[in-house]
Amino acid sequence: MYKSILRSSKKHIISMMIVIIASAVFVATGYYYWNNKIEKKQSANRGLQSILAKYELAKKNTEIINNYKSKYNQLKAKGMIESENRLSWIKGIELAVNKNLITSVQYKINKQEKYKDAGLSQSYPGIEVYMSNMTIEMDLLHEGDLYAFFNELKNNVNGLFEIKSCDLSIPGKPIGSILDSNSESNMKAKCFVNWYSIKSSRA
Amino acid sequence: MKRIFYISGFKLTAFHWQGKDFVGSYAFDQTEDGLGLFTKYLESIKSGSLKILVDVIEEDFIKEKIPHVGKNDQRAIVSRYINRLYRKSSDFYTYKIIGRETKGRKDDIALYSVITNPEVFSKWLDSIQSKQIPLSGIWSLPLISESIVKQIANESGNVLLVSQQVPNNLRQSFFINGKFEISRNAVINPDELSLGEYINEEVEQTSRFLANQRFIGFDEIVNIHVICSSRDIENIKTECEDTPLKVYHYHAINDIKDTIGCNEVPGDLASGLFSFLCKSKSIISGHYGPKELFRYFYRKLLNSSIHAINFTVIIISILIVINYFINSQVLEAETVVLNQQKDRIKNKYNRDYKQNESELSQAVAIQSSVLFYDRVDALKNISPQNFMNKFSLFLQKSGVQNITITQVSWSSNQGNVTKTKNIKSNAYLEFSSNKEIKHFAKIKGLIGSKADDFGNAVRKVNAILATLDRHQSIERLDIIKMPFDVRPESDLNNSYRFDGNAKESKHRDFEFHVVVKGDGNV
Repeated sequence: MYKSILRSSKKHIISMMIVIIASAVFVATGYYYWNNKIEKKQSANRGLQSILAKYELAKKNTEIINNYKSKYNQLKAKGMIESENRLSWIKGIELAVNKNLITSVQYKINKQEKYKDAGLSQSYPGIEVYMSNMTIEMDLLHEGDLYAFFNELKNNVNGLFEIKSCDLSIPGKPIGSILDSNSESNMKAKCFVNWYSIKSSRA
Repeated sequence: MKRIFYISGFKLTAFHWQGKDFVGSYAFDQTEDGLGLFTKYLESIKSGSLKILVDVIEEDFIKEKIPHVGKNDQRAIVSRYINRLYRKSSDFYTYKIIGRETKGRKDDIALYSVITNPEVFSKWLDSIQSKQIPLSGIWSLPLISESIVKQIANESGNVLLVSQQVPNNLRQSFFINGKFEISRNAVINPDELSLGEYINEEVEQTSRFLANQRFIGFDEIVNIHVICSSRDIENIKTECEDTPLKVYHYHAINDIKDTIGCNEVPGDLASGLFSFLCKSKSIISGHYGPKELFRYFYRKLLNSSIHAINFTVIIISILIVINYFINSQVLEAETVVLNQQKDRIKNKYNRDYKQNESELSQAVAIQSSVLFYDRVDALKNISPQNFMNKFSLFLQKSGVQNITITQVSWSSNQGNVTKTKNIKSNAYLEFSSNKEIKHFAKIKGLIGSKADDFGNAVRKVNAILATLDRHQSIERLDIIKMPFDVRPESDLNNSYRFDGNAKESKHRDFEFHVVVKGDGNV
């Protein structure tokens, strides 16, 4: 009986299926149209955010340039940026000897290597730092000569350096203290100095 | 509009109802003319379905005990029982379980209703089938009268409902506590006796029958509710007197219509009243008839459902698509605004910054270069010269004379120091770290003069230690070599042997490891 009912209602059932399929297609078309509009809006929004970010970045970078460019140019002029100037270092050392700040000096400069600091790119983005290690052995009349020597380097040499360590000793039997400026003992000093040069990481 | 076909033996009355309103009625005799007219009437039906309400003498009500089994088995038992007793009525019976025995097998008690001679209305059904009119169900008048009893009989207990649907029949249905028990249809001749006399006589017979069949006890009261036209009530009252065991209640048909919720009841007989009750019943649960009889109704139901589904689907689809369309328009308007904003900012960017793009791209590197330079440059105070100046001041403050510093090994150091022996002088400084960079120095020398004795040496040591400990710049001081280290927290490991010929102290060498703070160079 039920089969005969279904058979007799065949047209209605087919019409229902057609209506359901047509409605699904109709709704899907509407959804596609709506989704297309959403994507266009999202794309426009992304574009806006992108240009906004670019504008803000340019604004911020302009402030940075205004704040730092002058000093940066000074450092660049002194040779502390981009490339190291070993010749200037050597001249500075020899000048110190010639000025009798120290009696004799021996130095050794290792080959330049990249400064290894894992947090550098985060703390100082956009640059790479290279380092040359210099060993200086000096004969000093007293401990004040050390100050004079490094002061001379700082003032007259194009480069950025940091004194990593220094060993001062009085060879033989001491007849005076290292800390005594009137000491009659000659001193020896062996210092390790790191020279830094800064390069833009894009270069 | 709803059509209820009331069938009483050889007559069919079609009642038309529109909601609560009675629209009209047509009566057809089971004669050739009557059936011809009925066929024409059926041909005029263009839409809608109909119900049949049967009120015939050929309807039996039997109570039987059947085993308490599942629904399918129960149906099989009942079907077997009906086939055995009423061979012709296999499609014209209904039953319901009205209780269960409390003793023995605890059988179910079933109440059967059977049309004993379905042929009595087969011609009507044939006509309906031939015209493919959707028939939704065949209903038993006595069974649906249960609902009217609940509304008109306030008391519980035994109720006998007496009603007249056609002039020559008197229907009596018996209920206990509102539940249908049994019914009988008596033939009367209005020309011989008055309705009141018939009611009195039939009620008497029925009461005896009920007592004999143990539906009621011989001393139980029966409330007799008579449904009749208002003009017959007085006549009936004169014939039917209340007795201690029989109490009569009278209900005019026009009064009951308000109770059951219809606006108008046709005629003076109760058939119209019951047709309204039948109209109000559920459309898919009739009492009698094979399912094939209702196939046109099922088909109509299916088609109507499909129409409803189609309509609903189309409406919902349209609403969804309209919603999508409206939202799309809003999104499009927002997109236009966003694009306008983007273009405006882009123009502003091109005007303000485009020409400097190359330089601006170097801004971060420029800033980092300067900041890195400043960070390294800030270490100018972390130098051996600076340390020695500080340490000279410490020694001067201690007031100790005769200290000879023979070796100073200085280095910069970063981070917290727990053991100075672990400090590596060649360790890289991490300029990205916010840890302070400090002085670290190993200092070796001699203390005291050759003529100093133990006491003088200890006092000088204490003076130096006290000075260093007091000073805030000193972060850590480790005494590596100091024969007279008399501080409580230190281990003193020394040996002494008196040598009367010794003229100078042998205990003059010392070695400090000291960490000095870096004046906040972070």
